[in-house]
Amino acid sequence: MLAFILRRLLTIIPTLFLVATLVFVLVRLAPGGPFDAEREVPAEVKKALDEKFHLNDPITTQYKDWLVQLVTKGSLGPSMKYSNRTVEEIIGITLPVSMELGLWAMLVALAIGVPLGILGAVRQNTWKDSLAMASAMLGISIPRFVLAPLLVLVLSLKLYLLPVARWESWRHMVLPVFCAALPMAAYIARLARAGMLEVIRSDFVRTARAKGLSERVIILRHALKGGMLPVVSFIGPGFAGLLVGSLVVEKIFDIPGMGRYLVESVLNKDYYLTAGIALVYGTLLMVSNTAVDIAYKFLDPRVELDR
Amino acid sequence: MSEETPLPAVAAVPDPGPEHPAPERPSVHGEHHEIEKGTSLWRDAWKRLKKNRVAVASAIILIVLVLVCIIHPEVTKYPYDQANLKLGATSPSWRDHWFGTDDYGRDLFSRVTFGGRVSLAVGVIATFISFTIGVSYGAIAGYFGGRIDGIMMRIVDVLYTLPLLVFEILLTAFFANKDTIFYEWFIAVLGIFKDDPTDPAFLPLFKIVFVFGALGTMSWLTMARIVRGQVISLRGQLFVEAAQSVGVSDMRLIFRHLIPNALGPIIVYTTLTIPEVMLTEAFLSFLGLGTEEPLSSWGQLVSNGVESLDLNPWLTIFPGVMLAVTLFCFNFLGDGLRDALDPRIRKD
Amino acid sequence: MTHLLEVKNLKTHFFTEEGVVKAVDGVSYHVDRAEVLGIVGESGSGKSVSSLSTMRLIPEPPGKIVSGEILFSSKGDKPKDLARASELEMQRIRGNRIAMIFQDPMTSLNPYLRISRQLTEVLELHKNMKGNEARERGIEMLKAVGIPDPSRRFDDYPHQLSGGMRQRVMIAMALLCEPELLIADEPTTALDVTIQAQILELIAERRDLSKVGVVLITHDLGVVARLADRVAVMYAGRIVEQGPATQIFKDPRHPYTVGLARSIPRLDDDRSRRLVPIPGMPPSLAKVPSGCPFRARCKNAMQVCAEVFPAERVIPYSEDTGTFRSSSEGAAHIVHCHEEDLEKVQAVGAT
Repeated sequence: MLAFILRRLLTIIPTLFLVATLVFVLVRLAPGGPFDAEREVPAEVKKALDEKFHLNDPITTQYKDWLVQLVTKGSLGPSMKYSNRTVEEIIGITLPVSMELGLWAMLVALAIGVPLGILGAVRQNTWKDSLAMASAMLGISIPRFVLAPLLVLVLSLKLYLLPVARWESWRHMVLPVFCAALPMAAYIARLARAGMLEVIRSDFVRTARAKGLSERVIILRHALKGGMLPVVSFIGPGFAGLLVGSLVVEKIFDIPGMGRYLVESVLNKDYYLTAGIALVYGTLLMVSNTAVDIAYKFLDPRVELDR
Repeated sequence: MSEETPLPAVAAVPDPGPEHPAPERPSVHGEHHEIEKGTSLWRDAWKRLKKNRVAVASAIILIVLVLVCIIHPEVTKYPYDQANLKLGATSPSWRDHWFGTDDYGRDLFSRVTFGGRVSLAVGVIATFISFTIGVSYGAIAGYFGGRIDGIMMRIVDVLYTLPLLVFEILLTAFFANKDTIFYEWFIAVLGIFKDDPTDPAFLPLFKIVFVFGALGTMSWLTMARIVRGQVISLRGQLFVEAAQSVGVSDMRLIFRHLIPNALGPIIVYTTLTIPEVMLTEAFLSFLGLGTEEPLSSWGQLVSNGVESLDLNPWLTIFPGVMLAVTLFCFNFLGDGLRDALDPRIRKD
Repeated sequence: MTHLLEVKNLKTHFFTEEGVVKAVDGVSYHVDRAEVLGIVGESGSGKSVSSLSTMRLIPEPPGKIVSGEILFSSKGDKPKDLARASELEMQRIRGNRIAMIFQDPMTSLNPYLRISRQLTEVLELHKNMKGNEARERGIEMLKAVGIPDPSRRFDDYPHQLSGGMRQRVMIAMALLCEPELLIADEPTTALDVTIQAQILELIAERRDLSKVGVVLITHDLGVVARLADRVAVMYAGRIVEQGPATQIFKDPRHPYTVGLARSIPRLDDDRSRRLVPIPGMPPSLAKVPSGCPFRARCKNAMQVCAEVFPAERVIPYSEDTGTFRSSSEGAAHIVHCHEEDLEKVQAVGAT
């Protein structure tokens, strides 16, 4: 297990390096600079600013400096827009918020999607199945930024049940978490149904029936583990997708998460902040993929991690 | 044991049962055989698809939607960008502005149909780009196999582990911009059709075209994997050997023989890529990174609408519902096609 | 005397989009204690469906037991008709009074659960055994089916065992509750030849020691010849001939059985003799023709064959039949064929 994690780290580090490089190149190749937009800035001030952030150094030097800082000090550089804060400070404040939203949404998505998928598979081709799958399709097809305003409109603006925005109490969390979770729940429901159907038709479930086990035991003990494998392998990339997808939720509900800073930094050409946040997303994606591979091992004894 | 019976040693009843008819022997021109099998496959698929009422309904709704989006902006008396500041935002009415008007008094129905053009065009064109890349890439990797396949698929694996959505955000934000080389390419191509391609009025168009390209070049990974798998399974079949033996070139074999035989999964996945790409475009436009005023797309219309959600909810509801309905129909159609074309999953 | 299992005129049909598939269309047979009934037929002849019907494991829909009786007499009780039993009653019988072994030991064990779990759950369910008691009984059973070092193997996952070992585990699982009837559906098909012999030996031993009745389903006449006391030959959803194994092999009376016997290579034969396959293919079960289903492949087909399915005809034993196992002594040799002339029947297979 430890050997597997170590070996996995060996592939993660070059990939992260690739991500970091790509991001840096993209960010720095882009025309325009962070201080172009501010027209009032006099030429000398702009020059001083460029000087301060080493923007006049050759790009290779900037890249090297950035990388060296990152590896030696874990520093992601200064923010150009929020001029007295570093990128890691901003991420340190905003990432927990995004993670909180993301993890709750993941839990809610699993809590909705898995039972729905099992129901669809067990009651295959009945009206319950059709209803569950039609709602799943609806969930996949409604973008978060359409769902969120509609729910706000009805629940907050018309019925005054929940707050419109911000991230303070659990009542503030209900709508954003649900909106972030729904597309994921729908996707999980479809995966869970497909996985369960595959398993329910397998020979070993027939064996379990031949042993006289009740339908409930067959589903819970014999089918569930194998049937959930597609869901489990989706959780890794799914969670990262959820975090990025929640950008719009953060925007609509005015939640101080990392996603909003990504968009802002991109629009402001706040180079280091963009690169830092993109790197965090990349890291999260790879870490959750590794976690999923390990979880897989626990579910399917045939899987050998040492590949 | 009953040893007294005469003992047949390794005895087996000849076993091709009714559900396993003996494989027909492919003729020397193996492809004819394939084509025959192909046509009945398509006919069966078509029959199954027609039985799937939800898929048929989705297809009809999509056709109507596309027609409305194509025709309406041409015939309406309220062009999508014609402002009427005196009018301002008005709520929907049956008589005049079916979907109401926005803050500038622009007719929302026109903006929605025009935005539909943009959204659908992004979906179709970006999917076409991803289709072209993914199919060629996957087919080449699968056909040549060995080291080439290994390297090509390793690249796909690595790309899979990257946060592509983040890259899409970065790309559209940084490069849909008139200081980039992409803009020069755009002008060069546009110059063929228009006299004055550098007119800033074309800048929003450039942004859309850039989004086509950015999304298209990032959504081909799954297609490449699917096609590769199909090609590998077809490569072993006799008609490929037959074609090789009479000297058909590799490229011709790939594009004329292998890909057409893998068309089922390709069509299914293409249908499912369209809503995915449309969703991403809407996502980017919602974040303010896609289409720009005065052009519209559904994502952008929702984004604008949300600003005055409490006052003018229709500005959010109409484009949002249109987008959701379109995605819904594409997804159902894709699902229906999959059920129709994939006999293994069909029995679900 | 009541039989352990008596199937009377069973019809199991599948209602599909392509039409009604009459997988089993009027089948009658019986099994007694300590007896092996071999059901032989090509794949698609309905032999597996008839046994799954007994267990009521036909997926429903599209399958359905349309008519007939499946009378099961547990411990000499009054016969119970399984075709009409409730799901709950069936759950009490399955794995307890009637157990089943499936063809592919690679896929028939749950790959996600330890063997221990898969064994003890049967005991928990039917015998109310728990913890160590169930464990010990499980290990004991593994030992009984010849698994070396059973207490270590007990906590393995199925993929850690070889195919033959897995089939032994399957058999152990089936025998845990000392069932009265064992249905073995192609138990050796997926195994290689030496393992096949061992597994058959194991089943024979169980028949003799625990007096379990066995329905052995196979397309392999060799397996039947080794193990079966009586044989039923199925063709297109019907039994065309049945009787004591010795009698069937010595004196087959249905052209299909004759053809089967001819198509089999025999070690004690002149090597130069050519194998004679039966020409043609069995009919699709979705459109079985009227009358005798075999007639399309029968050189001897008469007008009457197209009209009615032949009624049963009892064949007297031939004089040199040899010894019977006691239980099949006196069991009737029944054939369903209009042709009574033995020579003509035998001519069908010989081309």
